Amino acid sequence: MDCYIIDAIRTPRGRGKQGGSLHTTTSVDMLKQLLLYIKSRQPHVTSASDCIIGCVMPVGEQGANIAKAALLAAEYPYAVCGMQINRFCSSGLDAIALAASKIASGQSQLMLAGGVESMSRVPMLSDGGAIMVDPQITYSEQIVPQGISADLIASLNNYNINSLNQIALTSHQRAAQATQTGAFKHSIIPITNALGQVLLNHDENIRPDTTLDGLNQLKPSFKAIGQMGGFAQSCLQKYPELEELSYYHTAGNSSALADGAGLVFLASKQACQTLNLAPKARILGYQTAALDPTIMLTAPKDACQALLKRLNLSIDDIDVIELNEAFASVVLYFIEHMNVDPNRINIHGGAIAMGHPLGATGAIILGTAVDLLIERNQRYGLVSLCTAGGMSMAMVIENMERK
Amino acid sequence: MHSQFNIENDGIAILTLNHQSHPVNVLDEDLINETLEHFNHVVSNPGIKGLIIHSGKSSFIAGVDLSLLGSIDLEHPEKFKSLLLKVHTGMVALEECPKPVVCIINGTTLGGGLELALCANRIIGVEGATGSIGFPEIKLGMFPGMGGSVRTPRLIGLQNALELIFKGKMLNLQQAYEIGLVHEISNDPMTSAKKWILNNPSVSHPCLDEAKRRTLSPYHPKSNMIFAAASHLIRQDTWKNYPNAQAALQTIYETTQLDLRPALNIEANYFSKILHLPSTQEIIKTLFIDKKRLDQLAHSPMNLDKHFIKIGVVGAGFMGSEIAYSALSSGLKVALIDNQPAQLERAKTMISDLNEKALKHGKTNTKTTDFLNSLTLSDNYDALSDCELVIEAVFENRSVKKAVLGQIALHVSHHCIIASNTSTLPITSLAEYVNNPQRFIGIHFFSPVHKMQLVEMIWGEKTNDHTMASALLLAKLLRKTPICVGDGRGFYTTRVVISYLSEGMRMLDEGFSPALIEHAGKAIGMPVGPLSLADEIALDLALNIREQTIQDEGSNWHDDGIGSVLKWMVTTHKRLGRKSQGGFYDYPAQGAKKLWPELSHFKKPIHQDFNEIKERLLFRQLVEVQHIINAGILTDPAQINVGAILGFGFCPWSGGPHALIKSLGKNFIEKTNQLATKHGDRFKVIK
Repeated sequence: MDCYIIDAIRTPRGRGKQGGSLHTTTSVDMLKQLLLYIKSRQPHVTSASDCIIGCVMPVGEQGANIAKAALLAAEYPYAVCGMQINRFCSSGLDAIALAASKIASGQSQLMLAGGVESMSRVPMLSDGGAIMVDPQITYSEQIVPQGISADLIASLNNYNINSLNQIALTSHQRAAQATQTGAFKHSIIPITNALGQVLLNHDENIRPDTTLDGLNQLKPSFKAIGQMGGFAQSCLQKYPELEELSYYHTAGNSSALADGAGLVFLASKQACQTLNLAPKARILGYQTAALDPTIMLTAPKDACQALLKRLNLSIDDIDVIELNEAFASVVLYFIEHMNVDPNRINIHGGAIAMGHPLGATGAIILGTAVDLLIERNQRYGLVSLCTAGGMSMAMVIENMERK
Repeated sequence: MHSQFNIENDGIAILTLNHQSHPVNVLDEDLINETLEHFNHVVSNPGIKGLIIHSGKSSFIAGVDLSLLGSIDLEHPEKFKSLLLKVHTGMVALEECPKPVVCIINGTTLGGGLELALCANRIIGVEGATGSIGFPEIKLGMFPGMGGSVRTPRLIGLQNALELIFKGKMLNLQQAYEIGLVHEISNDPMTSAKKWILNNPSVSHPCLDEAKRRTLSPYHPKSNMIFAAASHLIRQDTWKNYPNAQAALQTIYETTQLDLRPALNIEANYFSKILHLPSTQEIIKTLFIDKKRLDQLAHSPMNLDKHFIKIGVVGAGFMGSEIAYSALSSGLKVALIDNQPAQLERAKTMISDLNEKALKHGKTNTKTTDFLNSLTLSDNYDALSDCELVIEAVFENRSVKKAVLGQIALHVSHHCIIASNTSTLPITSLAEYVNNPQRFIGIHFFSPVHKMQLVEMIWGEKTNDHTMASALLLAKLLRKTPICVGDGRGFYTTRVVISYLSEGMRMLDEGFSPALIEHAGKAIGMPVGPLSLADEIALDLALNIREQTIQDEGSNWHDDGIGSVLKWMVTTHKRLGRKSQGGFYDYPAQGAKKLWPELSHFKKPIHQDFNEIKERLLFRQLVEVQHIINAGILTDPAQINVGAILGFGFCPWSGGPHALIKSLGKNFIEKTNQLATKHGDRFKVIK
């Protein structure tokens, strides 16, 4: 694809609940601060034709096109358009893919794209939506909460709690290590209040003191809703080989609620040359995939396989993999079925440790992949996320700074 | 005229519903039209200050006349919809009119009767009234379609409405009052009603309260999770076999987002669509029209006018006690005989407990002490001397039955009917143990008797029409639905149930996953999987019956393929089923039963095709039914369908096995031939 990543920045991820350090910052303000910062680092962003923002709960302050709202708040020129999109958890990556497509097809030279979500201010399920409650969908297709799907994956694959919690432990250890060594420092933009005081400058959900014992003692999170809401029984009607659903996922091995935003500046090859922009990476391609919405979270494998095949790459060619840690079973499933070395996945930790601000995560982990490739001087990065509705998204990038 | 309409001096109109051609009020087209005319009169006559609706019978309204719903033009659902819209127009006009309307309910208020009541501003229950209040539609292939699905959530909230509509839960007056369906219980309802009308000269109907309605919307935070879960809670019970349940939920989902009038229109669309499905018509035919005919003993071999006063029950175990309780609660005197006094004491306690429970649920007004006055407990067969019918319910063993039947025959009068409650032993063979076998009959009650509606009457070779007709009258008196079945091993229901169990166990032996087998049973619409059911019946019993059958059949025996599974379970592992806390399942003291992990012993690397397992479990039963028909044991479609659904919960969505075979048409033979080729001759229909 003729599309280059010039810069990728993000907010720190705040705990996505009241008391989280970003709870008092509006979603628009998070995006505004990123827009202002990137303008200071990349003055040409004001010439971007459009800014596409992924957001999963686009209601209330996140509603009615938060992209344009933030552009106006950041006093960008009127000429910069804004658009908000939603493909659940991959929205941030989809926004970038869509922007990349505009550039690659010659419709645009410069684009901004990213995602935002304040889960503490606009909680999950705020946007209603037929897919969760309209019987013609939910009764026929057994749409269940994500946590039930994660437990279904673990049940069907006979995962044990220890190996799932090991994923969580690794996530915290790696994220703590990365934070300590400053791996994120070029990309994290501290968020400030109206007085300019820093509210947060690091991912605050990481628990460096996490232990396997501690994780093993946590109670399952989705048992009550699985039983009382009928979800456990109804998903077995699609997977009747399973006698019953077992409950593995806890607050410790599921992604944490978070507030945050991510923003990427994209340019065509021609724009790079005329404006003298130094690209960090190139987008090679992207791919969606979808399967049964009840098991919901296993499609990254399909998206990645299809994309790698199309790009004529093998999984072994990929140096850095960022797979969103929606739940530990999602990661374990991917590792097993893609047959990849766990040490190449989520090298700096993931959403279990740092949190998953729904619409933003795709943009954030793409930025992490770019940084990792540069830091390690490696070539290919693969980014993928599972989403509600059984969908998934994957993107492959190539390091342009590789020596 | 099925109603009277009087305007009293105080300006209050009184509408008395009193159907001339039915013992209870049912809403047929005539009564509906009359009622709507009266409503129109109330709305348009300025002299009328308010309306009281009540019944001239001992209950309110038993529902819509289902023979009306069972005789519709399948090609034209829109015709039925226009009838519904006419009803809605009249009812909404009354609701929108500020004149107060009170409905007095004095007993049974079901289906369309309850829907009619819901358009009143206030519902007053008559103190002491018995009878059920609720929506039975869901179990008849339908859902409340005369405004009930729209109004009920608006009046009593989503949670309560879903329970009423989807579980078909029947309430007594007190329960209806507690959830706000009934607003007041009064011992002088007419005075209370008038007083309320005079105190509230101008009222607004709660169903018109749009602010309240908005809180019911699936997109209101209060209701969002209820809707998210409702699909699954309903699906976990229905396995998507019931289009009416799905349509009902869709109706509620859509109508909680609309004002009353457009909401009623949406309900009318979905209801008319569901009513006009052939499968719905089959369910209505079996569970209403045919069942009613059987309840009225249309299949009795002769007209007989006989009044039972006293019956005898021999064997005071669980079954005997249940039969005695059932007879007592129908007003009969009962002599309960057992040779163990301790067993008689236990029976007395059990019978008392059952009556206390019925009292608590408002199902009876008879005090337990009065109840027990009609019960004679004795270890002496002399107590049977004045009984008109005696039924033995002793242990299922030929020699025990022989001794007991001999004793009964010695002690009863010569015209007393003697019955056996056996579920397996051929009646003709038992008839030999009594003198004049023409008065001997099989009366197969189902356990637990007070819940199970079906009774299987078995003709012995010599049983005469008078005996059968008398037994049928007894069933009617006990408010049971009887079917009349020819003699033969397992009669009708037991034989089909065994075919289901055997196919399940056989597939286990072939290497299919037990979880798949169990889920497949539920997926086709059976109440439980075959292995669960086998555990309930007890595996040693199944093994004994099987060995008895092999002995009796001799060279006619066809291997059922379950010998090795049963022996492995019973003989090798001493796992007898639920009664021994372990069979195909483990039954932990805490928590739900779980499949016994050692069943993996049977697992083989075969293709685990869920659909194939489902087909085998369903078609094995259908083939067995066809054999029963072809052997002349039971040929009447109505009794086949009603018996299967009421007796062992056979796939109610189908309207019964005969209805299903009929609707499969040519495909039935094609499919059974295919299955026979692949899995053996037990799937082949023998002419």
